[in-house]
Amino acid sequence: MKREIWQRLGQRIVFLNLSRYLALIILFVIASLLAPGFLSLQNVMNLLRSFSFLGFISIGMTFVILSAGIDLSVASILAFSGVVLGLFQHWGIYMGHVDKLSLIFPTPYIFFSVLAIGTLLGFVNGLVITKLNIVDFAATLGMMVFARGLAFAISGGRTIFNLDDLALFMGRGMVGAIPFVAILWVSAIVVCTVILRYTIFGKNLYACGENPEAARLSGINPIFYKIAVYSISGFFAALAGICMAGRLNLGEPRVAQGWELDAIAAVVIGGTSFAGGKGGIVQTILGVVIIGVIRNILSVLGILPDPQEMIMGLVLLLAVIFGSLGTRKGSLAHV
Amino acid sequence: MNQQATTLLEVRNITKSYPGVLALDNVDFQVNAGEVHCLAGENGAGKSTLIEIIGGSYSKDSGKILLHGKEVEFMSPRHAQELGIAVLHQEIPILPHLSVAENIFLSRQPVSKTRFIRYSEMYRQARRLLDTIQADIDPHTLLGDLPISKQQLVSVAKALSLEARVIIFDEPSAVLSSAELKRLFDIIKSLKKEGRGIVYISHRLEEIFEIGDRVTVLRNGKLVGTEAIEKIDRGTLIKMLVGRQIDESAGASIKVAQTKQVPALEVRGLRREGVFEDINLTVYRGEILGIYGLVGSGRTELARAIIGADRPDTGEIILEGEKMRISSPRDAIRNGICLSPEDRKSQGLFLEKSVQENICLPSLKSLRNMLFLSYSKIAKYASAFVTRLRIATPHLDQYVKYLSGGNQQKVVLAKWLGMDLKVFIFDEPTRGIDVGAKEEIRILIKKLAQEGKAIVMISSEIPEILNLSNRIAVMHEGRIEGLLQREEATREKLMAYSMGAKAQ
Repeated sequence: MKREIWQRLGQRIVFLNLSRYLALIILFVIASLLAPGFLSLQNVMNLLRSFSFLGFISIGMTFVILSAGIDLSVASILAFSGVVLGLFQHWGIYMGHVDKLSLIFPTPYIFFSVLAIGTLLGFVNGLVITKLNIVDFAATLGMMVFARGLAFAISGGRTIFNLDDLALFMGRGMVGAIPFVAILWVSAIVVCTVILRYTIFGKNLYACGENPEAARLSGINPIFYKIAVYSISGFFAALAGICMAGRLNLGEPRVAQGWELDAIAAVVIGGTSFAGGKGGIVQTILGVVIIGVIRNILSVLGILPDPQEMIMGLVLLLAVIFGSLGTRKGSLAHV
Repeated sequence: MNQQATTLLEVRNITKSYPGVLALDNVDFQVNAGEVHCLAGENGAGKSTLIEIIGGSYSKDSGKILLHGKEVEFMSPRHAQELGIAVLHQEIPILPHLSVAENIFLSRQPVSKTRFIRYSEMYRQARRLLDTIQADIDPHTLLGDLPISKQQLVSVAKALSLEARVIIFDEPSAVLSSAELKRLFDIIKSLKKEGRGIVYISHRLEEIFEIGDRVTVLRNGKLVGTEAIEKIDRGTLIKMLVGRQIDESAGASIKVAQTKQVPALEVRGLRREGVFEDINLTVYRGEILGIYGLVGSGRTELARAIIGADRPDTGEIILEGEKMRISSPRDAIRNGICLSPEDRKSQGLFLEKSVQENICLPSLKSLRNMLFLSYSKIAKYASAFVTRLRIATPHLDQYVKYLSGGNQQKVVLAKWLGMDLKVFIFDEPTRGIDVGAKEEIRILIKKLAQEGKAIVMISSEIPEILNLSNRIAVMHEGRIEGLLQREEATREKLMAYSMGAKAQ
């Protein structure tokens, strides 16, 4: 009888993974048929680069959703961080000369300060949620509107052109044949996976996500973890903002509109539960890759941005339905 | 029993299996008009499966269900309801934001000819139903605002409104205090007089002997037997339940010696507005202090305040002579006080996590190599406790939600045993678990006291309190009404104190 249970468990696991990866495999097949050269080294590296930007904020989003929260402010923090980077490199903009680089301080320090500002905005999200007792959705919706507005306000709505070489390297740099940003993303995945699996912080985070009251009675402080995950999410949004600005060579308040939803979709397609406490970064990669590949296919086919959004919506819905077949609690399906 | 009694409901040779488990194996069961038929069995014996089948929630694999002698197939819970079968689940499904009357008449509201709901008629009918069971409840109250005991009465009213001939009570005592239970028994007796058939599920032997006419015992999905209550005694029933002889006083043989009176935990002048006040307690090392009180007497709230889960308004907590500042359970645990909470499923456990993860969570600090968790240490630590407490689980990675109540409770205890704690607070440590596991947990608590730990044990089971405690504090409406030595404590005194009457 025992063996039978084990077998069933095994089958279930195989089925789950297969149903998830099957979606990806089908996508890759479709893509290679539609666009020969899809699987060329060049295009794969390009894809990897394009995944990374969404990938960063999806890592942060995974932390947040593991804690049973949701962060709508990531895309705005991303845009704001890019604008801040641009401004810090064009400090003279306030004195009238626009196009010439004028660093407020050396670029590495600029990076650190932008990351710190992003983390701070996430920290504020966490504070509002825990100390003022506002639901995650409302608090981060507020931050989403606020940060985007701030990005427009400090830049005067202008696009800030031209960044320095180090900033460009963050977005465009190559290490051998591999984009630097992809290396950065993969390293972040590794570090975060280790944090989630092999540290007390990670274990306690899962516990708080599943049942904050039981966690509290077990001697864990759920408020700390709530604030921590939003700070982490803010950090990754800022990191994505820096790389994105480097990629585009501009600080632009209009970038990444609606990306928070892509990030949420990526996390959920991966199988991290909205109920909290279940899932992980590795699963999220799958979601990021699926979304990235679909966007890539649509672009390759030359579909215009607006109908592209429409198709994306349909495909996302399908992906979520498909992804939720095997799991009860693992995705957007009702329990 | 009257031999001529009409059988309302009969199930014959019911079998139900889940993957890998035979939940019910050829079980027969009948309910007669005008009887209370108790259904007993350890957790996992198949009681729930049986009533879910009778209630139409699960389908049977084979067997027959006869209603008034005619064979029926229940298609859904609603279908079973329409045929006169009402199941009052332990966790009552309610819509807390709707009024009592709306809950009673959910989807069956009285309507006018134009199909609009007639609210006044609905409230009038609800009032009448509640009056017939003498429930002092305003049908306009939101159900969520009522205590669980009254929600239970609302479900009874709902069953009456369904004209149910067979009413199934699924462990009502698990959520009721003894006074509330007595009222429920009165109601059950009057339902019985009206000729309805009652199925009563409980773990507590006293209740079965008090309310039952017949008892059916299930074990591992098999029918052990159906007996008339007057024909059997306690010992026989226990033997039927567990399949072996259990000495109920096994725990009593472990004497807890109180040689030195070293206070471990002192509570002075603890007060929380409207919940409890003027609480002064001392627990000595190696002592079990029992706290008895009705639901709502403030006992659970007191336990939560001691470990910092809720903040008291005033008062001091002194641990081994030192005043403590405890502002969160985290502080309490660091100082050596832990709580095993009343509601283990929602507060004590992570149901969607493994046995191993639940056991190790508070002790992860000692299960690391440098900064990183060592899964081999974790597995070793957890399996040591699984063996020591005899936790029945197929493997360490089993989700806790699949364990029986008794094993879940053992997991909660295992969480704290590996840490060097001084004071253990147990809130209803044996609620809702089977007889065998109850005894094991009681013995474990005694052993902890023997090791010199200070124990506070909250319980609504008087025999348990009398059997285990060195001293007993009785709470009533947020105050300690009396503090009794074990020798002077009796069932009557505890009941009297808990209802606010100082013993004569």
